[in-house]
Parts: sequence; structure tokens; C-alpha cells
Amino acid sequence: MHLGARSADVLPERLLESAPGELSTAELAPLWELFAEIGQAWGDGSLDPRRQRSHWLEFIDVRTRTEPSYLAEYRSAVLVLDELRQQHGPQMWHELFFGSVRTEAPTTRRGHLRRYVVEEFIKVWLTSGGFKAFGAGNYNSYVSGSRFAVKQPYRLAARVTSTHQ
Amino acid sequence: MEWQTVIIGSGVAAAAVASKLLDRDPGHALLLLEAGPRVPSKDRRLWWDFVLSGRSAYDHCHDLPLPGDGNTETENESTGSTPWTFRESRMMGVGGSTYHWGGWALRFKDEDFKLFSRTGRGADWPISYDDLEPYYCQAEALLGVSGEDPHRWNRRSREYPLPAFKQTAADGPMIQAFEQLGIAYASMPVARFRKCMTTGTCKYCPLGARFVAAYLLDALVESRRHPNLALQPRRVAAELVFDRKDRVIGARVLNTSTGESRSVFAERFVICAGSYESAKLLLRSRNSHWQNGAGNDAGLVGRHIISHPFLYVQGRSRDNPQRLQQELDFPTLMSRQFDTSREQAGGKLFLFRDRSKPRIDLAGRMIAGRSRQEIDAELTGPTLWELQGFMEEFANPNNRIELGQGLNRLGLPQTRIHFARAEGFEQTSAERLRVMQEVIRAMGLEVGESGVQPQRGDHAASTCRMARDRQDGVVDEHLRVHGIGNLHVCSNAVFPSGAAVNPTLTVTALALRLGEHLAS
Repeated sequence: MHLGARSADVLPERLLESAPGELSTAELAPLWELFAEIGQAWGDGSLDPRRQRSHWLEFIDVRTRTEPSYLAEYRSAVLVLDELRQQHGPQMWHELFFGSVRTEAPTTRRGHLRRYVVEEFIKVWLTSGGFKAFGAGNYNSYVSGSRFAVKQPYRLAARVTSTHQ
Repeated sequence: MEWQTVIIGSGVAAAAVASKLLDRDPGHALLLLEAGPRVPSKDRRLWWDFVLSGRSAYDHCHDLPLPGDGNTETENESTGSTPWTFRESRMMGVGGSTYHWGGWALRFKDEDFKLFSRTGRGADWPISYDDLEPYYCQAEALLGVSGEDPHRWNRRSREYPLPAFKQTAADGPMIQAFEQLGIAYASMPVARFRKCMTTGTCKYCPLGARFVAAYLLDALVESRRHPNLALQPRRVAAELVFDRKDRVIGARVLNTSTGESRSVFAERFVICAGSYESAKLLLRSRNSHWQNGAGNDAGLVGRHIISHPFLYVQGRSRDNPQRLQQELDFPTLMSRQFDTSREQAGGKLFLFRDRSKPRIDLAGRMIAGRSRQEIDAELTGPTLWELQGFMEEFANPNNRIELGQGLNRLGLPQTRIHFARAEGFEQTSAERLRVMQEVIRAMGLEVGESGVQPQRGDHAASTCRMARDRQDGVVDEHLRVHGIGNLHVCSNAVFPSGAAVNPTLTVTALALRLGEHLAS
């Protein structure tokens, strides 16, 4: 097969249809690698991606087991990731995040990978703690912990007194 | 009779009245009719969909959005000189607008109940702050309000049930400006239960940590203590049926799932359908007894509609070395310094820091292929800040809600609103904006864009206002429609005036008071 042939398959722009189901461990592995590489590209090295894994797994579980299911979309992504690896080697992540794949319309298998997987994984990476690399203490959709904890789950104003006038 | 009480609507007012009736008599035969559908709550898939797309699980329960950028609604009409925006201003479904509300829970103040006596404008309430104070306490407990009142802006017999959210780092620069200008401030009182994890997706909370009336109604319905309680979604009350002028015996109800129409009969009806639908149901209920609509012999039903003009002032800082971002989905800084009797005659002003600024869309930047260094530069570079405010509005009988043509997609009759801002509004709002601009300058910022946003209907009120005399209002001090012994209205519609703050806590207090009155 010509390298990248599957990636260039023409697909409808909408989400690929599939019945709800479960990804195998082998299918999860390259998707997890993609997620971790997002942290490599934008993180500051302080966040161990393993601390995000349960959050990511719950996301994958909900997205594949309920309708509309992303099962076919993720299986398609596994194919494209494999082809990108053969084409670009370690440069594949740069190509995917910053290169020409980034702007590809979701009318090919590669475009679907960008739209339905990479872009959504970026949001999941941020909401599962990745945002901290940019200096914030909390972020929309981050489950930051009880407000009654000793340490507040967001950054506080420097000057807060009980009465103000 | 089939039912002892039928409540039309399922928002916070309906839930509060229902809970009081069932508290007193768990076997009370009570039916709640909701025009809209049920929306699944605390659903992980719907939450993830919201996180990723920004589309809420209840978008289909809003009035349709504006086509293009004009002010012509597809489901409603705005006919006055000031366009009225319906978009996302209410939620038509089980739980009502508490499904999408921000949870801001503020009490009105003493003087708000005496508006006409004090200013010669608007109308007085036939009840006082002190009449409502015990119910404000109950409402704060029911909604789980976190707050503080270090300046005693309200006379309180009980402290807030939960401590205030501490102000965020991004509040810091505005706090310093307030202090420099001698403006008193406090944390915004918000309805967030103890289990809040500051997830920042309050519009669809995955934990159920913000009050939604549907949670309370579901708990009531699921309880075995209430064998005679029913909640029916997708049921539009088309009109009320009378056997004599002073008594309602039934409501003709359209099931929008099946298209079937039937009547339900009850000893008592309570309309808790918001400012639009409460008035519209009365207007639709025309018969030989009430030729202009139920309770409308004085022609006041639907008149006096008000909302809150929304003022804003922006300022841009040259840099943001601390990378301050708005880290919560609700404001934690507000001021009632200009929400006092001194400002009442010109229109009170309630100030708060914008809940969405400063914020850089990190995901959008990453998806656009920006590098970490580029995003860092943007985070520490020029930053936009905004101070916002609600201004009190004075009722005008010419501002009114009427029946529109046809039905909307949920099967509810359409809405027409005729509205014009009061004479002199431009001048008074400009004065208020100058106060806000001072704050922005005190932050060391150059004043940017400022003005009054297009009028929105989120806090619409006064369409069935409360008055002792039937010549002055639609319902009496117990929210009973003048001239009809067994018909009550409980929503923002009954407010004689709207003060400068959000209405939900006040309507909840009124509903608890009404529920207690009906149960006794």
C-alpha cells in the first residue's frame, strides 16, 4: 500500500457512525500516546501524564459507550496515526500539531483525526490539569476539589479582608 | 375534583410552592404541568459534550436564536422602539430557568419595597422587606447560598447558610480600585451547594452543585411520601376554564407529544410560569366572565414589563505579568455601594466584575497551532478587563407583553413585547457609566468600550404586578388574582418593581411565603 493511502480516504464531514462499544488495549495505546504528546508539545514538564490518565480514560469510555459513539472515529485515528508514524517518524507529532495536517478539512481520514480526536484531546488535556502549565490555578471543566479544602482550588486575591470600605 | 392543586410551570417558584404544600400535607393531590421537555441532569456524556462544544444540553429549550445579527426573532416579536432580546433569556423545560441561571442570589433592600412612596416613580409593594425577611432566610437555605454581608446591606435574622467564595486573584486589581475610591465591596452571593468543586461548567454542572429546581422536584416525585404528586412535561396550559367569574375549575391542556388536548380540574390553580407565560395564560383565558382575559378587567395583565439594563465598561492593561485569568465561572466581586436609597430616584446600580474576563482561550490557541511561547506572550501581554452593572428600571404601562401569532416549536403561543426605554434613560445611564469608568481608571487602565447592552429579558418582571387595589395590580398581597378566589400567580411577574439585583432569591422567598399561606 502507498504510504498514507488510508489517511487520504475521503470521508463524510460528519462523525463516523458506529454502534457503542469498547476499544481494545492495543487500540487505546496509540491514542494515549497522542494524548501524552500534547503535554510534550505544550506542557512545562511539571505534569506527569499518568496523573491525567483516569480522567482521559473516563472521557474515552463515555465517548465510545454512549451515542453518538466515537468508536469508529477512534479506530480510524489509530490507522492514521500508524501511517503518520511511517511517513514522518518522530516528526509526526509536530506535523499533527503545527504542520499541514492541522488545517486539513474533516473530509479525509486524516482530517477526521484532527477534528474529532486531536482537537478534542487538546481540550481534555487542558481540562485534566494541563492548563496549570500556563500559570492558572483553576480552569473551566477542571474538577479542582472542595472549596473547603485548606488550600483554595483557585488563586486568591492578594488583599482580602473581612470588611472593606 | 381530580386535583387539590394544579401548578402551571416547574421552575423554582413551582418547586418552592410544591415543597411547602407537601411539607404540610404529604398526601396533597398536586399536579405540575410543564410546557417544555425534561432535560437529563448530571449526565456525564452531556457534560463532556458541553465541555468540548460549548453547546448545552438544553439549547433546544431556549427561544430560537436571532437570525443573522438583526433583532428580528423567529419565534417572538419585539415591536417597541427599544428592541427586546429573548435569546437564552429563559429555559422552557422541567426546572425552568434555574437550569441555566448563574445562581446569583441577592436580597432586595428595604427601600425597594417602597419605590413609589420614596421616588414618585414605579409602584410600591403591598408587603415590606420585613414581611419577606423570614422567607429570604428559608430561600437562602433552600438554594444553598454562599455569601457574606460585611456592610449589612440587608437586615438579616440569619447569616448565609454557607460561607462566601473568596475573591479570586483576578479580582485583585479591581478590589484595589474599589478601595482607592472608597467603594464598599463583597463577595457575590451565589447558590452553590457544599459539594461545589469549582468545576467552572456551572451552566451544566456535573455534580449538581448549583440549585436546579428539577432536582428538588425529582426528589419530591420520587419520594414515597407523596403518592398523589405528579409532574407532567410537554403539557401546555392553553387556557383556564371558569364556572363563574370568581372561580377557576379547570385548565385546557395540550399534550405536545401526542397533540391531544384535555382538561384537568382542580380546587386551586397556581401559575408559576415566569413573566412571559404567566401573563400570556391569563390573556388567553378569555370567556364570558373575563372578556379581556382572566383577571384583566383593569387592563393591567401584561403591562409594566421591566428588566435590567446591562451596563459595561472595558479597560485594557498594557501587560499581565501575573497571568491573571478568570478561574471561576461566576463572579466573586460585587458592590451595592450605588444600590441604596440615595440613588433610587435615578435608578440604582448594582456592580460586579465580569465573570468571563480576563480569559485567553487556551484550547483555541493550541488548536490554531500557536506554540507555547506564543501563548505565554499573549498571557502576559495586553489584557482586557470589564466592570458590569445592572441598573434599576421603572415600569411604564405602555411597555407590555402581548400574545403573538402562532405557536413556537415547543407548542407555546408566541410572544410579542412592546418596549421603550424611559425618557431620560440615556442621561442617567451615562451618569452611571461615568461611575464605572472611574473604577476602570483607578485600576490604571485606559477606558475602552463602554455602554448599555441591548435589552435582554433574563430578569423580565412586573407583567402581573402585585397591589392591594385591583385598579393598581393583577394580584393581591397573597398573590391571588384580584376577583378570582382560587387562582394565584407566583413568578417575577408579580414584582411591582425590579430593584437593581437578580430576581431569583426574591421570587423563591415569595413562593415559600405563598406555599405556607396556601398550606395553612
